[in-house]
Amino acid sequence: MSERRTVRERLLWGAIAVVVVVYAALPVTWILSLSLKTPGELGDGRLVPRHVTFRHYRAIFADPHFPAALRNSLGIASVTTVLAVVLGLLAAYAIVRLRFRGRTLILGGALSIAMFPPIAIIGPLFDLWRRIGLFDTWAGLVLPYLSFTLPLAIWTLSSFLRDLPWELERAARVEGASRLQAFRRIIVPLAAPGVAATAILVFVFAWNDFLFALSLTSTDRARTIPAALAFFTGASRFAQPTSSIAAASVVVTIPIVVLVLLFHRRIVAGLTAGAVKG
Amino acid sequence: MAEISLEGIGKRFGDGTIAVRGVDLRIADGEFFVLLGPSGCGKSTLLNIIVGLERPSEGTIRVDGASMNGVDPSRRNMAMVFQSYAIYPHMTVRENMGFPLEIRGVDSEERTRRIEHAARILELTELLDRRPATLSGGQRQRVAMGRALVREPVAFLLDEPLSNLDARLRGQMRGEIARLHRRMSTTTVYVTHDQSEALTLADRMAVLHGGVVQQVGTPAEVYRSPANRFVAGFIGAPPMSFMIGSVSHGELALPIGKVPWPAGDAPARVEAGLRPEDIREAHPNQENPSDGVVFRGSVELVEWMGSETHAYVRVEAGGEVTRLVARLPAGTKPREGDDLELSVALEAFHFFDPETGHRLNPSQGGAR
Repeated sequence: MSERRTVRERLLWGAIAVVVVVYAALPVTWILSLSLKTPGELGDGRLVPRHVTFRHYRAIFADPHFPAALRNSLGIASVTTVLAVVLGLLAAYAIVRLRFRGRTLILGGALSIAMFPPIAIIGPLFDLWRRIGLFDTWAGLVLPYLSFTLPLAIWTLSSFLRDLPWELERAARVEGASRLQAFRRIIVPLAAPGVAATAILVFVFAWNDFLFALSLTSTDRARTIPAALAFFTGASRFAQPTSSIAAASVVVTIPIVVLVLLFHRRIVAGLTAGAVKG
Repeated sequence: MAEISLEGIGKRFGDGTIAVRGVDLRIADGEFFVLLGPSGCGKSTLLNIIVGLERPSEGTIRVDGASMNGVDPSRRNMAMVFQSYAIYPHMTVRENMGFPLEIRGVDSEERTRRIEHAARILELTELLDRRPATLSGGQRQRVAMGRALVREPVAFLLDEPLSNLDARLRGQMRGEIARLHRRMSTTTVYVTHDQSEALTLADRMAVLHGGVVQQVGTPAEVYRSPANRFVAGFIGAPPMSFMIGSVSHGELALPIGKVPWPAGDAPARVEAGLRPEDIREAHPNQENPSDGVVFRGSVELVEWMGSETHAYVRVEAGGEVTRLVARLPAGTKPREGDDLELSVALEAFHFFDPETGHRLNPSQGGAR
């Protein structure tokens, strides 16, 4: 294939890029616009608000439910991420480096768990959690999130670890490092890009989940943002809280956008790990 | 400083492949020992068994008499240089070289002293604060050596350390490794598939093929009297030329002529091998046919090397075609298609049993 593109090809690709960007960015832009409009102008159908106001943002933070939900979301997503990455890294290391029976079974099993439809376990989980006291707690959400994100973490990290030259670790062992020291000093730092990519994927999953959060929580103790938004009343009890929901959506999107902007190179590297030899 | 001995070492992998079989070797204290063989012959596996990265399926490995079976590689105090160099990409050169010391809890003052000492020996001082990604292949190779040098290991193990370098650097590093060994005189085991590295570096060497040791000896012994057909063909460049002949009436009839063959229980067919330097241009007036063979061959290909000329010669006898390589002085420049008159001294022949490949040792067999 020729490296140089003709003008026609470049125009075509440019046009496709514009379509994709507009398609992806329009809903987000629209929500941003709604969150900045005054109530009277909500229905005017304009993309750029006539008057920009931040009152909805002030309102959602004045409402005690929203900061509580934000705290829950950050906490639960972070705990899930740390646990999934640590456990996933250890499991991936074992799968890649150790020869033991049932290695492929574990990988296959992990994958099939990740494919399991969450809706099918919500009912039993609801009963079980109420009986053993996990209902409406952080742990009650962290556990199901872990069982769905850990397989993802194991898969991503094991494909990443597989590409790390084994000789580095063997060299460390010959130089006097124990298995654990070699893992901590050599493998973990080199796996950092894979860990970052995995962490973001897990964090986004936990952050965005609506189903578990809605079914397994009932109060501000553990309700996360996606569920809290559904119960949102906004600044006024007598109007549809459209603008407040839009403002809350914008606020909850910010951490994800920041994470992705910080790490997007590593995410891409992580997603394509194993595709080509560096 | 250590004597390493391998006793009946065998290694079978989980999938049933046998990597090495019945290896008995004794590597003396301070010796430069080379394991030579084609790829897949088990030489790297053997090295990994010595350093403890692989467990032998059978046999015992001893260092100064003490069994090392089951001893973790981190406790064997051996230093290894890997073919890929295995330099930690997230550490600077200084951190790379300091890693084995740090792990062992050497204090930072001593660490700095030893790193700088090793860096001076290897001319790495300027590069100490660079990252591996910014280094050339030769420099990385030095860092890998440096990481081995900062310690005082009982043995250095080198796994094809030069095979990723270009030809010029390879020659240079080869000299450097030889100098280092002379300076430290630490037991060194060096794995390579390159026979010229083995011949130039080794005090003694072992030739491996199919996981089995074919011959152990000094480079001169292995070169001059190869134990079998494989060793004869593997060592030497250009390689030995082989031809098959049959024995009858006290004579071995080869395609290039007849040589006397002492009566005995020799096989009916014998394979003869000739080193390129043993095939010379015949000088008619000096020729004495009783102690050599003279034959004519047509030149198929000439490789002029500058210091010498390699002539690939084709000999036709009784409808059979035999090809030989002769190493001639640089001054002789035969042309392709020319007929050459060549001579071989009787004692230059190496004889092998074509069935078993073993060296046959009649009185004239190659011992010079």
